[in-house]
Amino acid sequence: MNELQSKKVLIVDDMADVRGMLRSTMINCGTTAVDMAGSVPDAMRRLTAREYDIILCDYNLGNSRNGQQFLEDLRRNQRIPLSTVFFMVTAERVYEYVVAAAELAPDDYLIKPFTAETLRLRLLSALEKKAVFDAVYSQIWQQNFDAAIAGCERIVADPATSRYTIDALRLKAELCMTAGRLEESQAIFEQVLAQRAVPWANLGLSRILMATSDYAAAEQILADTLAANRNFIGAYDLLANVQCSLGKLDEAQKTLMNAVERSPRIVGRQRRLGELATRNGDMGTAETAFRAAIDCDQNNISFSGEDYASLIRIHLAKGDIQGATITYSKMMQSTMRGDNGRERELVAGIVSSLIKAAEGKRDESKAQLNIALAALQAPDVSLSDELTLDLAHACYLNGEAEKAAEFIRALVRNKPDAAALKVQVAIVMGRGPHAAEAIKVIAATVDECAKINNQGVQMVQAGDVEGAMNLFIQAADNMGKNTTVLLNAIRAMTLFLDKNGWDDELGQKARDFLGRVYKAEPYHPKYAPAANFLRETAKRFGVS
Amino acid sequence: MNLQTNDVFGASIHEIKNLLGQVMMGMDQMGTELPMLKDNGIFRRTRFACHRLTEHLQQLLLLYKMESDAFSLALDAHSPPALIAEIAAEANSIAAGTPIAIDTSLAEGLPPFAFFDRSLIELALFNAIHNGLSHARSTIDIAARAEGGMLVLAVEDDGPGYPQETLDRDWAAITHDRHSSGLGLRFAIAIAQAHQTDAAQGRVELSNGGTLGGARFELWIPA
Repeated sequence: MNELQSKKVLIVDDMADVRGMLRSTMINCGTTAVDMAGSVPDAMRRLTAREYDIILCDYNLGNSRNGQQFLEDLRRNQRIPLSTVFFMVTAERVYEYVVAAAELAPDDYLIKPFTAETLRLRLLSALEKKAVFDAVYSQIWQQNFDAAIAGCERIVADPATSRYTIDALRLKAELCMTAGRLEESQAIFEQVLAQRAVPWANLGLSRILMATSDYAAAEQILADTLAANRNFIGAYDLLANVQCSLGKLDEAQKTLMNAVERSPRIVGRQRRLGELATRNGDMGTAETAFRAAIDCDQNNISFSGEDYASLIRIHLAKGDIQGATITYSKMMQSTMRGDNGRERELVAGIVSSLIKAAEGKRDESKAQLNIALAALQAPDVSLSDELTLDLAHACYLNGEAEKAAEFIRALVRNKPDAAALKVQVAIVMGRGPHAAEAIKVIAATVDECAKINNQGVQMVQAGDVEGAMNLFIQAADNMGKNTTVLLNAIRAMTLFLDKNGWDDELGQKARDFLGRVYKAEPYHPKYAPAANFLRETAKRFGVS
Repeated sequence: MNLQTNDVFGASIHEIKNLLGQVMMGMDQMGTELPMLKDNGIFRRTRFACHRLTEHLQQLLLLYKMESDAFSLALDAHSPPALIAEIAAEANSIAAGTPIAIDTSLAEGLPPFAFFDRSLIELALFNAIHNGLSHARSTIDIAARAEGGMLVLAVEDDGPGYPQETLDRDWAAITHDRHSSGLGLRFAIAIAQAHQTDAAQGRVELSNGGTLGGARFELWIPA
């Protein structure tokens, strides 16, 4: 029992008596430091205050969230170290299918009822596995993917760790994907699939096929996976993405509707369904989806103004001003945790400006727009892409075309994927003259960004590394999330360091930029080469 | 059964299983707080009954899933020795206070990992272990070995063995039977058969004798 004695444990469950029982089970296992959280926000607070060795989380966390989403949030945003053991506890065997097709799996899961002894053994073997992967985890933490991949290979090759072969192969495949080594990743998934039709390997393979634009093959694999079991929830989201890429928007909508029927409480999925249905002109489905998104977001920590705005947009598209007004007043009554009022003021200004414009009340629309523009000046206020486009739309409706264009330019500069932005314009502004105007602004801004990138690349080729570096760093100042610009800036900075010797300040700037790229697009094919080049250069000058 | 009734049926079993889970967790908690309870025969038998009840409910849920077309294996790679250790620990906790000892044997050449549905395989083996706990005199052995490209998971005891009519029956062919232990056996067979590759399909083999002289239950799945 000693191995577990010193471990710090966090139990996350919305049911107080189950929390208590899990706690006494852990104490039965010899643990003394056991904390409990009754909700996701509560758990986040504890995780910020303290580092835990073990998290036991119930899959069903009440109305707003499930444990799988919580796990994905924690791992994606690196809120817990990779060495932390995360166990899912669930009463539902259907979770086995969820986890079988999940991109991010917990370290293990237990289906209730289970005995203290089973929990103890499972925890011990999870800790044992963590110890085997310890070196790999620290390489990943330092984003040293090639070294982490080599570590996985050692685990596969060592007979002493042969029971972790599949775990090591799976991790290696994911790392190869991040490092842009897609062919190796694909080979691993195919190697596992040659042994057995394991759902996560099928999903992994389909992600590779999507990354290499082989959408038809990806679609086939995902459809087959879902034919085997309709509860492999993760496969629906991927399938809908593939179908969108193939232009099969109606089928993509049906796919998401099937997923929502089985697992209705995922905000992001409802939102995507709402957007897709709006694109398809199916306003009834869109309305239901956004209403559901609002419902499941009620208890969440994030402000759900976005979903209210989407719903109001649909009312207005249908000419239902009364419906829009009702939704607006519901939004104003809703409780929004962590909201200091400014964000609500901003969203309220934007949507009521749109409503007033639809009513033909020009002066009131203008007044509401001005309220929104003033609220936007406050620090720490940010808008989603859709709401920014709503704001631009309100500007257009009030004859403020230049202001509208400025908002749209800022969006384009921070988002290399202009095609996706054009789709968002169609969703938010419909097909009228304002949408056409917005599309023109997007095209012009894309050209402008391309010019800067080309100019810088030419400067490098002509040997003016310093000039290119300054150009890209300056460009990154107002295109801070544009991965193309950031990667060009990183490359120019590294070339400069390589030529002129190491400079701590510049090196740190390059690392910061790398971090921004990773946050925006962890699977960007140029991320890993850029990270490697910078690390090799640093090493050459004796900097670690 | 129409769909609605069927859904209510599934949801009810689920709810009963969860409540029973709470009963069992509560009993474990009582056993910790009052250690003398663990030696109490009534306490032990009640816990054993709960364990069997859980098994039956899991079988019913499985039946429901098979009928409602939501059934497929949740396959992943697992370590056979870890599986045996876990099952033995669970068996030990039920056998505590009885004269029956739980042994395990791991053969050499066992694969370090194999692909199977862990909870279904546990369900199938527990049916055999529950039988063993009712019939063994002193020992139950839980074993794993590799043979002919298959992983063999075996439960043996030193009891009187299976009645001849059990051994003679073609269990896979029987679809309706009121005998309750027969139900568990048929589930074990269905679970074994669901584990298949292009080359091989899982199966259950029953025999008497073996190393302990009693009943021997073997679950064969493609390794």
